[in-house]
Amino acid sequence: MAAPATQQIKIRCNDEKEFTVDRDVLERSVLIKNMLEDVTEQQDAPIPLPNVSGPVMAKVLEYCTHHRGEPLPSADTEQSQDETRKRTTDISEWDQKFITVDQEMLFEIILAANYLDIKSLLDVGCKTVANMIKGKTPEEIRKLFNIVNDFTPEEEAQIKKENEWAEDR
Amino acid sequence: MGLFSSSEHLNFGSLFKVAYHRHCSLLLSEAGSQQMLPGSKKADVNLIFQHPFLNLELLFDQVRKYGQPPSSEETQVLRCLVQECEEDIKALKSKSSDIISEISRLSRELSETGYRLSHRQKQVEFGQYLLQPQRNTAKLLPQDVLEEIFFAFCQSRLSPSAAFSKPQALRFAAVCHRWRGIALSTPRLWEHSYATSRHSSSLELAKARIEGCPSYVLRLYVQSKTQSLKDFLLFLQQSPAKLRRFELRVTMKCANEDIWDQVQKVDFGEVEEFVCQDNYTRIILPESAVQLKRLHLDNIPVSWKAAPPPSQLTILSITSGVHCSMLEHIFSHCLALQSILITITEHGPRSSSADDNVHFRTATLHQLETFCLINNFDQGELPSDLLHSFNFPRLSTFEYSSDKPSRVAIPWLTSLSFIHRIHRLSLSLHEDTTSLAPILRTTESLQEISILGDEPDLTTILGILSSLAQSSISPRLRGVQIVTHTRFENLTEHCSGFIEMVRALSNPDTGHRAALTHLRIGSWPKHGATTFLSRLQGGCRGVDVKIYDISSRWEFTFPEGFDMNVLPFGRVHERRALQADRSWKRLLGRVGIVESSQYI
Repeated sequence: MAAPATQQIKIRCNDEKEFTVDRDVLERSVLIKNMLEDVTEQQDAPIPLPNVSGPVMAKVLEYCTHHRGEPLPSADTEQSQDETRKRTTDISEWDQKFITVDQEMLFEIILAANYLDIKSLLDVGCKTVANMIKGKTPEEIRKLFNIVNDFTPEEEAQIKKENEWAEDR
Repeated sequence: MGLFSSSEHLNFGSLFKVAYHRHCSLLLSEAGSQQMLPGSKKADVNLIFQHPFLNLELLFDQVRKYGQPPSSEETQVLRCLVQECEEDIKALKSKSSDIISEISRLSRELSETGYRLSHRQKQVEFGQYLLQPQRNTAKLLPQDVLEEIFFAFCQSRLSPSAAFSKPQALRFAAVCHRWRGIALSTPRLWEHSYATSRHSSSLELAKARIEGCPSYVLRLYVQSKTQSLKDFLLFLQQSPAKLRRFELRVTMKCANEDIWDQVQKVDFGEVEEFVCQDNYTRIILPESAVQLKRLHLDNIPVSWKAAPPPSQLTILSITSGVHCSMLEHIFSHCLALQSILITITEHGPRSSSADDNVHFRTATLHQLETFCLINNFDQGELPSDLLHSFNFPRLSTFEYSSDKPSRVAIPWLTSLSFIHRIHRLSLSLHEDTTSLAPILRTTESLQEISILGDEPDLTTILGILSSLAQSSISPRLRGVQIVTHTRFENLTEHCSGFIEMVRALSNPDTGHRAALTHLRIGSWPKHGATTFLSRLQGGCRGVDVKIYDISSRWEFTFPEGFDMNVLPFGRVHERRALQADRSWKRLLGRVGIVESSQYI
């Protein structure tokens, strides 16, 4: 007996790019999962995702496809996992390769994961950025992310004082 | 173009013709004749023509003064003049109105131009931003995502030795206003607070952080001089913050019991881990420490006389000053212990009784998995008697070492029944080199072994391991670590012995079922490490070989081509300590610091 065909869902990104994806892949996103559960009748109209562009969605789907079938963190386990998963910035080999993108795409993926509520992807993104920050001084962090130093000289002096002892040990 | 138009000049010219005529008549009548007119008056007349406005009032005053009505000719000229002026006024009013309209229009246009200018400037700014090779994309991240990133970073920086030292969130607080705001307003980033009096702001900042997140369980590390510490402890006593981990280090040696009085008043109700380091004369844990599970006491002569050790302890680590009778006391009260690490144990005669026939109490520690007695120096009585009295059914890791040769051989196999079930065994051979072979032969569960011995013992050790590999060594043995107090240049002579041992332990034909996977060698790598390691690696293919530095002297030339791992003692507690050392600074990229328990 043939396995039942997986339901295909259409989504439309903010640049009108459309994807047709297996439901279980899309349901890695809690946002989409909830949307699908709210809809009782099958709809042909694509689900609009106004905060995600086509290229970013393609990356997100690549991640979701690779991790399809893995158990989603439930509300109960999430809190307990929160402690352990955050203790390390270790990222699996595949995830590391997947997230090796330019900085703009990395942040776009993080934003998309946050919007689509894909905890594991958000976690990978955050850990990646955390790894990028490792060993860097505030000035180097500014340079890395092109952030303007908007502190006044007085504030700078205060911050310098704060950091003296922080770096001392 | 002048101030006035030609017609206006003409009109004023007409007016002043009249005024001039009148003025001259008056002057003539006063002077009697035109010839008598002084030069200065002629100059005045010229002046009148040159500056009619300045003298206009003067002329009319003169007209009024002498009261002569204008002649018919003058009247005609004046009327004509008035008429011309009125017409001009009309025209000027009209023109003025036009100018006001024009000003209004220009004002509107200026405003529109300003708006367009601003818009264009923003477009230029945005365009330039887009043209930059790197954009401030971090700016796009919402607060909750940045919080996650900061938290991931702070958590990743935690390590057993440095977890409670640096408030990593300060790094973010120093980047920009937005990041600072987020970092300072996220309590979970400040769970690990570090305070020291070495920089005055740290205690204040720690206080501010504690006050800012009273609902959070704090893990606090305090490093301070005595007076500052007292003040801080007073603050903690009044703070509603809940401490979960409390690390107390006092940089100055002090035997000030006032400190302990203050410590005991701090609410220990939620403290699960307490780390204390100083030369206090006594330690009495607060009665409120009912949740305390992990206790680490460094350089403190501990006394449990006043109260028994907390029975719920699972991890106990005490360096220096533990007497054998103290161990008995701990074993009797702390039956939930999972791990014990005791260094520098004074075995001496039991202080409580001079009766040699007194037996230790007996009990079973069902949870104990790790037991380390390190750097023991006995003065007669051996802890083996004590160990024999207690049962450790789950003990899997056992470490026993001493700094000096023992006067009494330890009856390992007869006294220590648990030795046969050990997975990881660490021994120093100062006590008894002859016991190694019997231990290895009978401990079938052994997976990893660490042996500490002087160089003369090395040949014996390698020989025993090689020969046992032929038949009777634990079939599960995967890891071997050998630590010697010698230099690698001396070890090179033993390379063939190492290789032979590795081959014997990796050859399935010898009956050793599990191939050796890793070999760790600790020594003084001052000289000859490169030669030693390259020769060794050549003969140990398939086995992960690493060397460790066990010396406290760091002046050696670091060998090229492989990484070095060092033990965290002496000055090498942290990378930072190494950074300060010129000889290490350039090597940091290849230096790893390992805890002794992570050797293998």
